[in-house]
Amino acid sequence: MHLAFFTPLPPIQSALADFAEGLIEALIMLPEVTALDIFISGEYTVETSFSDGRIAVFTHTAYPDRQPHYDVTFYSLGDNGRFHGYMLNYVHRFPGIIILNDSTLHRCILAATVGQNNPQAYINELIYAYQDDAPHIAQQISSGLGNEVLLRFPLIEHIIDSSLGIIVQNQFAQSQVLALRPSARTKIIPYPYFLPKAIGDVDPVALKAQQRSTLGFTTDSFLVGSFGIFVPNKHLRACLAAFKEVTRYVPNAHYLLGGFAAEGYDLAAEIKQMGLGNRVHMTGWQPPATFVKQMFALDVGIHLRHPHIGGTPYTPIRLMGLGIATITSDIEPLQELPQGTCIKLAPDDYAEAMLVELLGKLATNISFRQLIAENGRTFIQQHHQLNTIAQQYLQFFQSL
Amino acid sequence: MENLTQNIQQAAQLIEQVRQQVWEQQAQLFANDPGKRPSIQNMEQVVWINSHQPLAWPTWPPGIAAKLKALVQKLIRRALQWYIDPIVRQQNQFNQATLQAVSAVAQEIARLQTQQNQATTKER
Repeated sequence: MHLAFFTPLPPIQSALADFAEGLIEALIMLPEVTALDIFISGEYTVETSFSDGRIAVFTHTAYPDRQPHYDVTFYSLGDNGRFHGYMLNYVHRFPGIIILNDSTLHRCILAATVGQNNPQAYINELIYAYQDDAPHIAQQISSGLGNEVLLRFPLIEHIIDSSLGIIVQNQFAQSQVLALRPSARTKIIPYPYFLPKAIGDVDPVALKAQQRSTLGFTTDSFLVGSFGIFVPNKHLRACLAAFKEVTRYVPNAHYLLGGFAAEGYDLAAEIKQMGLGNRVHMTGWQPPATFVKQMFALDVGIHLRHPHIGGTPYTPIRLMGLGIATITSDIEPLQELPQGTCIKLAPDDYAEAMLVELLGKLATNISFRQLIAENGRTFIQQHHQLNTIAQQYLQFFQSL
Repeated sequence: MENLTQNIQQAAQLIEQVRQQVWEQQAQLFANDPGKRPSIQNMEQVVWINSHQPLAWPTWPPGIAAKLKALVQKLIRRALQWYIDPIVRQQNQFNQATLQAVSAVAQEIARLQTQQNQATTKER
């Protein structure tokens, strides 16, 4: 089987670029896959060096001429126009399998149409999906009614109709797709857990000590961490407030922020205002291998996310797979993670107080922390195994 | 697999114990003062919008070009004050009304919770 895969890749600052690396390496190992061509936007140079000569990277403009060679084309779509917008020129002309990473693509489509001085294309998409409601929706969007409208009108209808099948990562996203198009071919395939190739075989204990030393922490520090692009819906302020409580009785506690704050969000000022300047350490964006190595240093990982846009956050999967006790949000896209494999907080008025109590418990009760960590690690190993997931992708491709 | 299931249940029970404990403490706190609910506190922080403040505040953006841009935007906003201010006033009125409504609902919830707790105590 000769596959074509539209996806962002590192250095694109997205967990989806990271996930694609692992999936590609696993797919090419399957005997049924003879070659895998990757199509990127062409606006960057790929950092990944694939060792297998049957993997090739092209700019997307090369696809139309090469298309007859492929048995299956699949597209990894998400709601970020900068990373995924270029694929929208192909999904309708060259139907394939869609990996739907978010259950709304409205912002991506806005960026790829209105953002490229083509408002008519956006209007056409609205009319296709919402017919007579289209002018009213466009008016609400232009009035700046924002997120709520973008979520209520996901603009995935045309993409579903053009596709040969839709892969999602959780039941919630599947239900969103089927609510719009009951006869759509869908498959739930979770994100795979894997270590970036650059890390290789590691001794987790040794790597933890080494990373702590590199990052400037002692082996007996209590280290909490959050990773990714820090946006307000990750509720860092609440995380840091809970952490500040912990520092009152855990003198050697530190917080690692592996990533950077989104434009317009002055997280550094917030940290300073909370008096945590010497306890909280922001690293900026790092290549996937460096990020994952830093994760090894943690005692506890926190990844809150609400409101959500239907996609399964990838960072909790990584943290749990590494055996890091993880706190995350109790949201529909994470319903497949049982309470007890991680700590899931309902996003309500009790969440901040819960975070304080639970972070304190994780800091002071090592057996509780180890229980959560080990449960998470074992669960991820059993349900997010990379080779098994690659097989599921192949089976879905073959079922077309 | 059975071991994992048991361990997950054990962990879930421990988390649930913390949740019950926190809920009781916080429910009492919210019953005494609904304004202490984080959702209401968050609303109070953003209820008032200012048509000028968010530009180049609290600090000017870095770089001369960015500063010039912010200055021009501030001047344009001042010039369009006659158009913007009535809209901002309406928005602020709506925000205040919404906050009052939400606070009223929170107070009613607190009153009902207190009533329920008293009824439960009497039954015992």
